[in-house]
Amino acid sequence: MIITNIEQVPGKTILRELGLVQGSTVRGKHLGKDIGAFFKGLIGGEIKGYSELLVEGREEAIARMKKEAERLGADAIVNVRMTTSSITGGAAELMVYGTAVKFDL
Amino acid sequence: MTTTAEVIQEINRTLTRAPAWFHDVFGSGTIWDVVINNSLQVFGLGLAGWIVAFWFEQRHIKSMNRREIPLENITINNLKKTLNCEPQAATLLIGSVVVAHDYFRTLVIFFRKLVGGNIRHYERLVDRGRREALIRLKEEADLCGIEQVVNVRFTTTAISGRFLHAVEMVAYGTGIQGEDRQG
Repeated sequence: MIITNIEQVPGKTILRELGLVQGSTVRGKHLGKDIGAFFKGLIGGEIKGYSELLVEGREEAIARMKKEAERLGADAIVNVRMTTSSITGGAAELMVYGTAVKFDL
Repeated sequence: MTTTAEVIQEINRTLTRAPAWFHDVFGSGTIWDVVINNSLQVFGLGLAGWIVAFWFEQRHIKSMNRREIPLENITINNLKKTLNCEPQAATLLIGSVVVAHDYFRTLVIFFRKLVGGNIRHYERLVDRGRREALIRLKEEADLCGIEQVVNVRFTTTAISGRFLHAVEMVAYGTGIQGEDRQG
């Protein structure tokens, strides 16, 4: 599965569009990481616990999007966009969406 | 008959009641009482955090300066097509980072917001975060042997933790592998 965020796949011709595919996940960390973040807040800077949480979440969201595209029989997903929103304290929603396409008819 | 306000007060008291060892060290009262009674010490802790934060910020900037040098050959743009290159393969690349302020600066910013205008502390934080996200994107590109990243986009989101408010920066784009047209 090729994933790009431009409107074409370089070196390939897109012949069929299969429609919008998306993957989303809401993730939270356990209380220990939040307490760690609280102490990291004394000095500021990068909050590793949360960085990790969002990277994992994004991977999960992309995996779900890929699964949906595979179900449609797609070869690639183009024009992928990402959004993150904070749902509640300690949890975030990560959403990835794009258009599933096929190289043959 | 207890009123709702009393119930809420009781719950609040139960939640903020300090453990026994806490009383031995700081005297009686809830955690908030102790914080208010020792406000000078709490302020001092915040100030110490601010100084350490400043040191960490300088160290981070130095590390970014160092890491940017080997990544200079990777070209980045936000066009939707590839230039000077016969593309063969494409992959999605993501770089992300979550950054936050120390509590002392949060206090400084609180007072700054009373007057309004540019909040310099935040500007520096988001600049630093975005630069770090871009470096991570480039590092991922470097790992895959990619020299051109097109259609790079940035998003910024406020993330609220249980105790801490942070900002997430994401940079993502399509890495292009291919032959150079000029030879």
